[in-house]
Amino acid sequence: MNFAILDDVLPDMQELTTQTLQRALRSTPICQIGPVVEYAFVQASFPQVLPALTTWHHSLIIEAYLGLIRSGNGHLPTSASPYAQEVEFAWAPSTRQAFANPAWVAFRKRFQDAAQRSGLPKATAQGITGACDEMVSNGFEHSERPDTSIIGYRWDRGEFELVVADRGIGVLESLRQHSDYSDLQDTGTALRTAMTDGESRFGRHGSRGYGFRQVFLSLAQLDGCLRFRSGDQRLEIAGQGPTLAAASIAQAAAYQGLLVSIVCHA
Amino acid sequence: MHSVHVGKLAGDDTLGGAANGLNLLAKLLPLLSAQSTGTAFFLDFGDVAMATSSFLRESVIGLRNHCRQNRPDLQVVVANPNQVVLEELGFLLTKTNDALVVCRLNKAGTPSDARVLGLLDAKQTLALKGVLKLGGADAASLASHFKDEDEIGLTGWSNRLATLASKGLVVETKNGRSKIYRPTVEGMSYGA
Repeated sequence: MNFAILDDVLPDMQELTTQTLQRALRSTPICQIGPVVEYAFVQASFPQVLPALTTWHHSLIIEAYLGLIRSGNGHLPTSASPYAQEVEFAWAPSTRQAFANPAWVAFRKRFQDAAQRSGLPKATAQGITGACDEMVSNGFEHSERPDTSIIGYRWDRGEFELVVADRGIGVLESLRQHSDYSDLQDTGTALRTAMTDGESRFGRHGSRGYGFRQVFLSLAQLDGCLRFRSGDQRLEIAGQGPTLAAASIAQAAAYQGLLVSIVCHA
Repeated sequence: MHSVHVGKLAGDDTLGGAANGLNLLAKLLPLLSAQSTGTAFFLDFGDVAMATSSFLRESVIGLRNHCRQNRPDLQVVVANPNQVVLEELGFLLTKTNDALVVCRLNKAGTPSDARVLGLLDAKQTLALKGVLKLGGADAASLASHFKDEDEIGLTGWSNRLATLASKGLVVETKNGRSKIYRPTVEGMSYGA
């Protein structure tokens, strides 16, 4: 399973047989956490059409994700270790106080440790941790369903991956709550708008809307792949020092909420 | 004069997200009661590697705005920011047409290299330059100093000085009926 297969198969999922879907989805090994999370969130909206992850053969990533789901919403990881695991998922804080919970603080340290173990310089790992803080805080502030927000990381030599995803109201509905964006019609434009400096559901003339800036700053010296999913659109950026100017937008299967997936190479 | 090590108080050297910024603000507010009137409150970023705009907005600007409403006698100053933090703070202040004092602070708590970071409009800039040049000023002394450049009246100068105080750039002290404004940190500069 990878993003390319999801993009190929999921938009037409209602027209394909279960056999065809399963063959396509299982045609490649599971190497990244982003596709698994995106699939799981889409599957939750189409349980009659898409096979549940529990039907997959053993995969470290799927087991880690299902372990999170089985632990129950909001259940924080019990490990106090600052040392990274190969793959780890956690529920994001759903209250302001939960951001100070020692279990969350420890997870954050493991996150940064994983980024450094992948080969990223310490300053870059700190920058990516700051970017993760922004994405998690965005979900808390804007999704209106912070209890659904999850975060995951995966590292390997030379590669670090993170995903932050929620099943909230999505970017389009979030922006439309302000009169500055009342005439926004499609999610692709909403995604691009949300990622632009100074734009947020609080309007254009405040001091907010700079959360995605840290994402781009942290990847400025890296080769990275970014994917943002909300509604029926996906926004992707790939390359050295990715910027919003290089973004492409395309149709995708319906996704309730917002998903941010980042893969970067040391 | 009082200072707080921001990284130590926040529990990390990597500071991001609005929620974390608000949590730091909640830790800072109780510390204000120990602060003497008319002094600078230094947020020492010497133990911070990086901070995002959202975090700085909620913590630093949040504290400054709180003081504006509840402790107008206190001025918030950012001390010892590294280049990464300085650039992000400068970015935030520029985008929001705001300004703050930044400086170096040594272990004895003595500030140096103080300067105003961010943006001021032309009128505020003139008022600040007047205060810096005179070492301290009231509306009447600025009106006299700039009588050839700007002919606004005493109320206009008072308003400009009050705006500078609300941004934490000058300290207001009462002198009988008039108000004297001095630079928040002695020797501070603005612009090139």
